[in-house]
Amino acid sequence: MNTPLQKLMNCIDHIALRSSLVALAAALLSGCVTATVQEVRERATGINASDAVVVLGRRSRPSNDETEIDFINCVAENLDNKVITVFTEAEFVDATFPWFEPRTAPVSANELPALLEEPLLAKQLEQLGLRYVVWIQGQTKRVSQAGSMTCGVSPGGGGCFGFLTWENDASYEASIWDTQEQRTAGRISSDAAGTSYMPALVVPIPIIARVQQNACTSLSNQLEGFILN
Amino acid sequence: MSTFQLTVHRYPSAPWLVMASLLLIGSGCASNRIALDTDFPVPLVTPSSMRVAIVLTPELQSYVHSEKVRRSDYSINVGAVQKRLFNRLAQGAFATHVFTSEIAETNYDGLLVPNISELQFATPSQTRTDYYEVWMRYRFDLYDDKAVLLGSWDLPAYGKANQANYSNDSQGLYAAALAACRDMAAMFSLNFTSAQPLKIWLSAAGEALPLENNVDAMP
Repeated sequence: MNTPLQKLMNCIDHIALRSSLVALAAALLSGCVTATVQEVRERATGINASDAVVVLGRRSRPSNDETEIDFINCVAENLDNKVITVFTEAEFVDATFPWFEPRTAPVSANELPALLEEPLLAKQLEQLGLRYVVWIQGQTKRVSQAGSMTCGVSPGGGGCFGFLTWENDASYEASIWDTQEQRTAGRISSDAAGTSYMPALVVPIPIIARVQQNACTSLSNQLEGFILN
Repeated sequence: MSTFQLTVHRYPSAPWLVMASLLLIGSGCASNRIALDTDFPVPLVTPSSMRVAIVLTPELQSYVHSEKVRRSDYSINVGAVQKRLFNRLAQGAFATHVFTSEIAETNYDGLLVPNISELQFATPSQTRTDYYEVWMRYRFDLYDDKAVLLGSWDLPAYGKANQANYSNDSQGLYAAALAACRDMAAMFSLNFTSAQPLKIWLSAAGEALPLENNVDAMP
């Protein structure tokens, strides 16, 4: 007869086994992604406990490559930790309205000194404790796709047969502006590419390459190291 | 036995798109009703010392743009948020202001009457781009304290929203219309004292140096 302790151990074993199987399935159903990160440092960085960072997407009008909001949020969430305080894009642009709207936001770090001469804005940034502005540009695009799939439905049931494949390419660049020095601190680029597959033998099985997620994680990790110096 | 079969080439999301399309066809023409309902930030600008009465007309507050595009009906209601938008804008842009609903003599320095003279929009399917776009043309009629029209200031506003961030036309156009309203508020607050028609109005009203914010009334 099993003792309560043995039952608990069996339960834990089941949970561990189930978690392992889910993790294994997730790993098997993920396509391969290759990622490259490059960093250009122009000056020394560092951050105090009272300093904060904001991650913004470039939305100025001539640009046709607006960065996905999901990607901006992903980088901000990954970067936000016990050491670095990160404002969300929405709360920052509201707190500094109208200076960081698409038509009014500074395009280069050279515009920072003039911008910081605006007394109300300067006071607000000081209150927020903003030290770094991280501008992100880039997108994830589908660069190729191939294959075909046939799906059928009848009173007796349904199913799909075929094979699809597609390749995504993510290319992002982050410019880090130091508001204290009023200059660019550096740039980090994150590129990732991966091929996804979807074989279907009755049931389609998507094997997705998480290209954007990979680019986000790589960029966030590099940004954290860059800011902490 | 009847069998329905479809073949999808190259597009992984196509089976779901086909099903969604079949549902759409089955339900008739699409209708997109967009009504802005949000708050706006107060602009961080040095307020003008001009004491201004802002006239929010019923036409402005009930402005709805309706249009039929490719068998789909679109209705964009931007009027409902104009009161909130101008309330926030005035809190930042003017040291002293009051809201009123009619053009009449006032003991303030002048009357400012905002109007939306035009709204246009475009969807990615029309323009073959990735963006929902909304253009709005605001016209600000400028009256002196005796309710005499001194001039008008046309202020175009533009907003766009990337379709990658939104799942349907209504969400995309909502975001683009909201961006256009914010664009107007941004351009108004930054250019209020430098635009030529406003200079005439401000000089007629005897504009003095900027003061601390002192709001008289809220709508």
